[in-house]
Amino acid sequence: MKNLLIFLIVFSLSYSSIAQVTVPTDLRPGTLDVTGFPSFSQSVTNAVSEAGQNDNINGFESDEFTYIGFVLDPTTIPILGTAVTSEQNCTANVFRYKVFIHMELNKAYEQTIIEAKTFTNSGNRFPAETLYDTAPPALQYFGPRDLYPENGGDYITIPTNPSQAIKIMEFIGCRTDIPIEFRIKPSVLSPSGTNNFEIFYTVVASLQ
Amino acid sequence: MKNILKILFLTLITFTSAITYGQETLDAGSVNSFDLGGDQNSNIGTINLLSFGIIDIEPDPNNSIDFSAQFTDLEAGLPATAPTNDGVSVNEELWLNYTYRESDDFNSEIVVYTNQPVPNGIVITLTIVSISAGGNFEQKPEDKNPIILSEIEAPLVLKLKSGYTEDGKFSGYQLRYSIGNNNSINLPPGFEVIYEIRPQ
Repeated sequence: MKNLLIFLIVFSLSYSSIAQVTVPTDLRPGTLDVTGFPSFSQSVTNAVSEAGQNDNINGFESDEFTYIGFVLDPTTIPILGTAVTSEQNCTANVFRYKVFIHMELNKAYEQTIIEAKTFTNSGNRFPAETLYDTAPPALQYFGPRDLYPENGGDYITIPTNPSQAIKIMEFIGCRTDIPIEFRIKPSVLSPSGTNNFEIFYTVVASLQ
Repeated sequence: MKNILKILFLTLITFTSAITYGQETLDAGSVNSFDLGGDQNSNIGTINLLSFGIIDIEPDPNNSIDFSAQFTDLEAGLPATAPTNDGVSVNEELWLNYTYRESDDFNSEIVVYTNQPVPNGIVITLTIVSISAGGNFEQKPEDKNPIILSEIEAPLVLKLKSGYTEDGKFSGYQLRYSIGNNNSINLPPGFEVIYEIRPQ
């Protein structure tokens, strides 16, 4: 009973937060953490092997995963000056978060395709357990704090146009250590040697 | 007629739905995207691609060609060879396919040579007679100059650019083999013509 009361208080706070965040000035500031450097190193074994075919027939995956995580920032309660930790904010404000991706790639690679994917329910809930998780399903207004990859977890082509950043996943509540795997399908018309590219991740809170 | 129109209308609606349904996108540069909060970050990736070339002759396998005389071809008083045109036998059944990615450090070419000497009395001439429209590769008229084959490497395609011809017969370069063999000499066993992509 005590737990239920606590949950109802937390839920009512978060509900009022949801009502307020429709106003652009009342953002829920958070931090998107990105670690890892995806590297595509082509070898003879992952290059095309049939003369006449383009090199993008098979493609090959990056040497390592990138990991992303999003948590709400710590805040301070006005007047009282009481500090509220990220963990407390993430407990009290459960949103749906959508992650979009795009990249900047040298024009010489315009015929090369780079794709990204993640895995069903990958990463970790932050915090690991909250009252939201133990509440009756009807009160879990966004559903379980799980992660849902787009395209059924299959690879999605990363666009180079930032106005067309594409969704690769959504998750409910704050989440950390989400692996993203990359695959390249290099055109034989793209240059040999080493070049860099930049991948942008945009996470936005959503009520839908 | 009315029913047909209805079906057509419904089909159009379904088709339109199929077109408009797609993966969700976002203008990542717009502040409005963050009305409810969020953040953006990036990381740097590295691409390291090989410079390489692969080449084959189609149809593959079975890309041997035969200029042997058949009994039905023989005529008293003429050389004992396959049918000829002015003493030259011709075959245009072979196609050269390649895939190639350039290097910044050197230019490449396609060279051709034989694995053993061509016997005296036989002249084998190789010419590119046509170039397919498929794939994505540079086509240059000078590549059609005839080559007389020998053990010495001769350039068949000069200054090769990155590209691919598509795979199979009728893709890439169509080859014409012309063989002059008025003395009816045999090629030695294991005689081969070798094609190679190599730095110039």
